[in-house]
Amino acid sequence: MRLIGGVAETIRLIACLALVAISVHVVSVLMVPLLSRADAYSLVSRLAPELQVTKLDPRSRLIDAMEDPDISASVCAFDLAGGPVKLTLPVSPDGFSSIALHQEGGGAFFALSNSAAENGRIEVVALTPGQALDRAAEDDEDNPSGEVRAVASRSRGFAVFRSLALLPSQRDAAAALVAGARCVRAE
Amino acid sequence: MLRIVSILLVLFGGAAAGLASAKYLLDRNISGDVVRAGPWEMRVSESLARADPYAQAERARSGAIALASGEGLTLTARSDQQGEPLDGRCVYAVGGATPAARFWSLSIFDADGRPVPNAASRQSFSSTELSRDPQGGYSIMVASQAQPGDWLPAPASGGFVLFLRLYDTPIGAGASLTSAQVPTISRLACA
Repeated sequence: MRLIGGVAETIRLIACLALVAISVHVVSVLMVPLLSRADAYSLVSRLAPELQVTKLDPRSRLIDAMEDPDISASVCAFDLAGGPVKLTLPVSPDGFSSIALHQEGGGAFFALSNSAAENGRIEVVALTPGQALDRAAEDDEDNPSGEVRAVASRSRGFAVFRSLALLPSQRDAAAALVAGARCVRAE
Repeated sequence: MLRIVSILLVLFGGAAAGLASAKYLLDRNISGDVVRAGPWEMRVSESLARADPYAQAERARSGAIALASGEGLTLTARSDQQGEPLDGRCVYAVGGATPAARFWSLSIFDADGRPVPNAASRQSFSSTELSRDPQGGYSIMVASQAQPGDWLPAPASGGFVLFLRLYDTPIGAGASLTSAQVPTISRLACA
């Protein structure tokens, strides 16, 4: 009888141990995105003040050490709590350029490539759902603005501007394009 | 006394096991969103806001900014067509089909994720700078010693990783890829 009681006690101990281990495992995995200071948004927002475009140095390993070496990239952090933000990238009709919008906590919520370029640039306005409704209400139905709008589910995020050099000789031109990116408050 | 020891064992032992298992799995990048095609693999949700919790935790630790699905996709290869790990002492030919994309590039990094230093300063080939045969086919030689044709220098020893980046591709996240759609990585010889 005592043996059975001992076995039952051991099984209960192991079950409790497993329960605590599983709970801690789940909670710690879920907490990593909330607590991490090494996530992309934290790194980008420490690079420069909000709305300031910063070119990424491929040797810094700060962002993605294994980024395509033929890609030139720049970033800017934004907080939509201060109003919508307009992001503009001058592009060449050849090659590949893009703007991608990422939110705090990870994940892209919008991307646009130069296949949608107009007047030598691609442009997108990032806004919150509330700002999107306000902006839509201001639209003139007969003369729509035609601006591309990207609605973010979180107010803080960052934009990545990329330009691909199709030939090594085009690297300087690609770098100049992303250096010419702009992040400004939308009017 | 025994009960107190048991409670402490459950609390501290369980917490230690939970934290250790979380770190172990995150270090090994186990998020279950991998699509495999031939020697290549692709993480379909790495840039999505609704990635699985392990993918979210992994990118929060790495700080990496993956290509958004509207920009393109990244395929990674760490082994050849036969499943053998890519080795700098061997010569490989990469060629064949590539998934539909406006542009693509093939780049190489050593096993630690560092660029491979070489006199030619060559770390990648884009789809527009390759030598093509009359049928439009190509063959990129990946080896530590210089090769005729398009040569992508590999490290003299140790493993390496190949990245195939597809820019402006109609393949969306969640799409399937077959081995017939991706380049083959054939091992030709080893030192």
